[in-house]
Amino acid sequence: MLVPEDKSDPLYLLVVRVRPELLAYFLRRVLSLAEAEDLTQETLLRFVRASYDPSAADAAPKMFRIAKNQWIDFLRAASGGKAGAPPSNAVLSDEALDEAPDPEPLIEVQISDRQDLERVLRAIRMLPRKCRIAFEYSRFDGLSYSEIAETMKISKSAVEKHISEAIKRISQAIEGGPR
Amino acid sequence: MTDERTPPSRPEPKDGATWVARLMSGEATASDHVACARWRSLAAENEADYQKARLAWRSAGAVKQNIRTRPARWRSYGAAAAAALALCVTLLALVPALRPDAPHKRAIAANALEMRSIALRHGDVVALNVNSELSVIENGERTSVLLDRGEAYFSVQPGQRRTFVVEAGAMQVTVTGTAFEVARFEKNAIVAVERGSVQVRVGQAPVRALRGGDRLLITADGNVRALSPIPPELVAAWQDGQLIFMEEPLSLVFERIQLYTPNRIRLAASVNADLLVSATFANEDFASVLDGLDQTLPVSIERSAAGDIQVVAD
Repeated sequence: MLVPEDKSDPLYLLVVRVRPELLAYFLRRVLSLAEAEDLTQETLLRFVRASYDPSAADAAPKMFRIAKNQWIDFLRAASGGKAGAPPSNAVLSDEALDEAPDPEPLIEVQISDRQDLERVLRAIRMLPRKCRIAFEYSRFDGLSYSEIAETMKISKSAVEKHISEAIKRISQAIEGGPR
Repeated sequence: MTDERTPPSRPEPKDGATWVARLMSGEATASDHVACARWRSLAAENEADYQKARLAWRSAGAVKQNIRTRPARWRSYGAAAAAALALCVTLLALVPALRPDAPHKRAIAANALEMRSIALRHGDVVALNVNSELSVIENGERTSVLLDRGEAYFSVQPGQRRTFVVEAGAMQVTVTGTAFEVARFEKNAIVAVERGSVQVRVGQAPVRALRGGDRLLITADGNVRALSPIPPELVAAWQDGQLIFMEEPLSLVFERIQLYTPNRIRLAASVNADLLVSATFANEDFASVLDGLDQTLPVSIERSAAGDIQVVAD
């Protein structure tokens, strides 16, 4: 695509340029746009943490290699394996990046314990009514916040508050359970 | 329609849950992603908070099958109607075939800076190039898309009873499970298939079937003609930051790059608009693309003081 006029933030310009391709890469592998957005964010975080120069000529290739490694780590975590090597701040060469895990691999969050799942289920069922409806529309039906706002006749910011509140309550339920 | 160049001021989230909520909104922007990544890398506690929220969000996905799905959409007709509906909804949830499924229409636009990817129902996805607009009507097993202007790429999940139709002016594209691009400009419209097959109807002309790599051009005067096939992986290459023109009429080339500039591009009468040309650009700024076309095509490109672009024959 064409580079927009506002060149004040090189990282933003890089993300504008590579994000569609990152999303497309992950969308071919996961079931929803939200899942692809999640993995895109993890990829970007790795790039930021590695302190790569977003205006460098090889910034986009680096981002795509990180995405590839991100996906491999995601698969490993999903299958119960360990995600990558210990964190490292070393900036690797392009060639090394092809082979090695990229800097600061993240620990993929997983939940598999039956009791945890039951706690999550209970937490969702106990959400305040509007909060639960908004969350289910978003997480289970894949509706965007605009659609939810239109359907529930509330503002988009109210939808975001409901979803945020739901996430906090589910998170508390996971933390509060026996270990 | 919202123009994301001037987004309404949204307070930046201060906790992981709100960041996760924003990124998973189905409408997250590049700015959101950048701001979130910076916030997460700012402090260890920010990252811990984000990961906690992310775990909650992912965990909810794991229990999806345990939650009884409600009818796809209900609309608020006031408290009394909602209360009455609640009973119907409970009953109808037990009989999926009878679930009400009101037509749902939404308009989607991409601004001058960012492409957009939008999740539709049934796992379908549409990617919209910059300065492009479409509207979607989802009604039961039928999804109708009206492409108002610009370029859009569709990835449609297979489904035996489903219908997915894209209309762009006089052209109607019907698909089942496939991936393809449709573009509609002032004079030309095109459809290009990446995989699967589509059926294209233009006015009263016989329906044409296209397969992976096939391209069809519809001109302003209603003429329909096949363009040379392209490698399927190059369909909608704009998603990958590339502008690829393969044996395309010069008029179409300039209509396609018109998406990337607010300044009007005009072809002089002396230009052979039907001349088939090829050119490739990757991640270049607009001025470089214009320079490249000026050098490779038999045209000269001139800019007026106001910034308008005039294309004249060499």
